[in-house]
Amino acid sequence: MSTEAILQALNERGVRYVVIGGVAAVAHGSAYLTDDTDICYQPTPENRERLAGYLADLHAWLRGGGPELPFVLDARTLRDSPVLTLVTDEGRFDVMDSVQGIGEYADVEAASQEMVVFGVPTRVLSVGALIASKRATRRVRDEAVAVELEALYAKLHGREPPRVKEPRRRPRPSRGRGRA
Amino acid sequence: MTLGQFAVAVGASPRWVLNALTRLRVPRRYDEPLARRLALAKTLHASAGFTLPSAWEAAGRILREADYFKDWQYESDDGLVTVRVGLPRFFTNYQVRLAVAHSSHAAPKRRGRAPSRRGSAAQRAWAYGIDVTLLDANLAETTDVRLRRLDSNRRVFERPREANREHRSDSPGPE
Repeated sequence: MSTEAILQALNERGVRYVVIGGVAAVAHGSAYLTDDTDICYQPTPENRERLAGYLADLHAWLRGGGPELPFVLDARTLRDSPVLTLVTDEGRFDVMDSVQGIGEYADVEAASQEMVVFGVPTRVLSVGALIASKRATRRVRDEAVAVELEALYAKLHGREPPRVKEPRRRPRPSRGRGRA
Repeated sequence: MTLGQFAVAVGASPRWVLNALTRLRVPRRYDEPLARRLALAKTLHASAGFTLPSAWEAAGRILREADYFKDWQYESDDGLVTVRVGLPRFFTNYQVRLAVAHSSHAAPKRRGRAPSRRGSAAQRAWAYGIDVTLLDANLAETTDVRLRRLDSNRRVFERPREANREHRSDSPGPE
């Protein structure tokens, strides 16, 4: 189980991605203990092929999925599944093509910064964007991480973090009667 | 499963699920076998043009008889029509949706307004019970050191899990 191995392999294969989630928080200085490595990948056909090839080499399998059901992990599965939560030879590994609270890959890349990680330039989601993504989920377990990241932001930038406007929960627009 | 999780697993809106179950006269019990059958019926209904009741019947037959690791093929008696269902692909997509239903939609969400932002970020963190001095210690280290320590801590937590898995696989299953 090694973040170093995952990031180096992704870089060697030319996968275009941004490190997000707990690993990004730790890279910036958070004391958060995360269980999985999360990345947001560029959803182009070539990039999906490269990422799918790497995941196959890692013997990736869907977390919670049993061997009694088939699981085909290829570029098409990546295309059809915006989020994949996987267990691999290198531990838990989640891949997604967008981030809640930030947007599509282009927005995520714009909200990231380049850091040299294990000697390799790697794009990592910025602390401000991490706060926005954690706040957007409204999950109870992400609240503590967001509060810690805000304190980290203040230490790194010498000023209070900007207030994140949480998405308001509005009634969903009607899609007709959902006729079956 | 809640109705929301069930609908995510099926790949439909909750309203579609409720209407479909009513039309098929199936009791509302939001469990995995029903989600699997309804998801396959929805695929046959949407992609192959089956009516929903005949898609439901076909889904039941496929799930009973087919080898899930191979494509399922049905040919009409006169040989004019052949329907092929890529079951490995269907089960892949279904399992991904089921995993999303179990992970994202199961985590408890904060209700009500966002907590107030009185005081500085550091004060709020202390009030929340977060040891802010750990941040100072972490910031004194390089990124590589922080990430290597994360990996090392993960391995410590992974050991009991592995032991638990081995224990479960060694123990005899229910009779």
